[in-house]
Amino acid sequence: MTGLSVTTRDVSVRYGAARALDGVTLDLAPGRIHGLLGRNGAGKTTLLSLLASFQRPDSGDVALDGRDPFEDARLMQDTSLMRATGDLAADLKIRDILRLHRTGRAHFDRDLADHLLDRFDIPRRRSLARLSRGQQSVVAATIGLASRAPLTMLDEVHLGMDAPTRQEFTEALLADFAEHPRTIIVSSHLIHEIEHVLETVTILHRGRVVLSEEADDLRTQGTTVTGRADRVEVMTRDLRVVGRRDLGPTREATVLGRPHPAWVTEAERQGLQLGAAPLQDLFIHLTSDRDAA
Amino acid sequence: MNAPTSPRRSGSSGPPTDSLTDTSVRAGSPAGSAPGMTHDDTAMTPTTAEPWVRLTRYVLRCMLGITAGTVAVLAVAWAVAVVLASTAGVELLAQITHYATVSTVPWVAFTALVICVGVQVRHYVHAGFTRRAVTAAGLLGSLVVGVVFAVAATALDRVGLGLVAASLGVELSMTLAPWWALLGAMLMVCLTGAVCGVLVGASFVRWGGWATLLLPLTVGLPYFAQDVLARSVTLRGEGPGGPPSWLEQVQAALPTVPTAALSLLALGLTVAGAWLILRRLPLPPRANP
Amino acid sequence: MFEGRDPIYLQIAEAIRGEILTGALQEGNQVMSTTQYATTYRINPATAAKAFAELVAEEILVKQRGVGMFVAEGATDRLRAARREAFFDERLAPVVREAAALGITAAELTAYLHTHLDQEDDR
Repeated sequence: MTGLSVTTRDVSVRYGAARALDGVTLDLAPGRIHGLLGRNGAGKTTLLSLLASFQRPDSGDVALDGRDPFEDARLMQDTSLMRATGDLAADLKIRDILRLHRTGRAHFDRDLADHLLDRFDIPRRRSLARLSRGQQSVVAATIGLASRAPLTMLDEVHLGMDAPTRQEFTEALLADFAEHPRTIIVSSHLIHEIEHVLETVTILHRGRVVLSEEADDLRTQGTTVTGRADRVEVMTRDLRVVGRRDLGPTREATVLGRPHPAWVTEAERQGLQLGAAPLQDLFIHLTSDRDAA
Repeated sequence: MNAPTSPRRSGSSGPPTDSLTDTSVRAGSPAGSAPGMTHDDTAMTPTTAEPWVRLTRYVLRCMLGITAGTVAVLAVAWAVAVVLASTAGVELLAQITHYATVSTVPWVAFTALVICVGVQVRHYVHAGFTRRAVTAAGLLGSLVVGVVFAVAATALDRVGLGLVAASLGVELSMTLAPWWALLGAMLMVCLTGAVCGVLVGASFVRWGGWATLLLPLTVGLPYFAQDVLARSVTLRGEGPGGPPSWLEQVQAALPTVPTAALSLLALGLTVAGAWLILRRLPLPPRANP
Repeated sequence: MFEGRDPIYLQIAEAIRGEILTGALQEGNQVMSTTQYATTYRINPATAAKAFAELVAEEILVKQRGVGMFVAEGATDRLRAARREAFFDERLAPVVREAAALGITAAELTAYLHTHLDQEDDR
């Protein structure tokens, strides 16, 4: 089991007059951890729900390992989408919810599920609705991990978890992923917490893919150039500037693309400071309607 | 750069699982197995029946729980009614026994399928089942429930009521239809009740509250067709508690065989309706609260 | 953590080289597994694996199948040699060029170096 590959071709979904997805074309390689980022309403959950066969696109094609997953018994069994709330049966007891997912998932690891639920003192005899929001998220994240689905999607599954709990789940995710490689898609607003976990980053904005790259490339390609505003302007004139911030006479410009070594030398000679733009910054710049070029 | 410090593995805190000990435990466990014959491969493979088979088992288990609870409640209520009727000196009319069997049992089947299949479609798909598997489990579950309940209701009607009435010294005034006719009618009623549960649940998942408007179609019509059949079989006769006059007229126009055909058609349409709603049922994500 | 402009796997490789040079990691010591590294620093296991692959290619680490990664015999010397070369080429050469441009004499430079190297020895 090394995971499913994900392909979408010109996928669109409309809810009434609103376009949730608008011509999304995407390729995600199997066996890696992919990040899907976007602001609220960008279409992340809609895109993931297509991969999970919750619904079909109005137009375009979705394929997992080259096949349409909708109503494909094997692909649907091998695909799991977990969100913090909204999909699990709120009125069922935790142990009954676990039993259902054990029934549905061929690779479900009962020991892993028990281990995680015990660790966070989740009562099995209580109904999901009677747990706190953080506990509900723990249940969802646990089922998502323990299902060991070759395509595992965790959509804002951390909601309501406190920081130590999120940390433990990230560690559990990484440990289990190392032992049982599979395709994982993580969606989260806490970008700085998952930044180094991701191998690729895809950013959705208003139903479109604005960026889909290797995380390593993104790190080295995103550069902040800081210094006197006029010098920054001249130096970045021919580069892809995705955002500017001014602090008095000092300007910080975030540019995409790997700067040429000669350019770096020249920039440093002019007293400009170069730094790695955190993913969070790139994300904000790319999804800000005000600043986007 | 903050350098990660000391990437050395301390002797005491090893990795969580030690593959060597793991293997030795497993290899040692099958007692008397010939050396060299490993059971590991089969032990590692998850037990995988087809998904729809697993879901059907899950659904049947769910319905067993619901049915047991409901039957327990109904049995108490029914016993109380019988005792009250006998102490008040009221005759156990055919109408009462009719409601105790023909009219309540299918509703138990209906409820069980609504709870265990109809409204769970989202959760079953979420757990990795296809809509086809959910439909198969719903229809197979309906079949099992229909047969079991029909046999139970017939036995209750034929044996149970008589025994209870005799033990209480009450006279049962009813015209008995042949047992096979009663069983046949009960089978149709219970099957339809169960399948209606799938249809009603699915239509609520599909259209939300608006599905209430569809209830006359999704449960009213099929149920009416079965009720006509059941009455024409069990109550074809005279006496108090017989069918109301307008229904008698309907039955006069539609004797048993056409009525049975009609009820089969109603059952078929209900099954088709459930499949039409389920096969491409979109389950768009609900907003995170 | 990992704020440099380089890819994270290069930063990890560099950190491990540093630990070997300072003696925190001795030759023959076992290095954390990919999984342990990934969970400890909450990074992708593939990133850690890439860093280890880089160091194996440089013969700084050796892989023992089924056991794990170990610091190679002679790793410290190899690292020192590489660093010395880089030190003269990448660090000292520009300094010398700049000194020449500023008119600083060889005598001034060596005097400065003697003073500071003596201070370093005293510590």
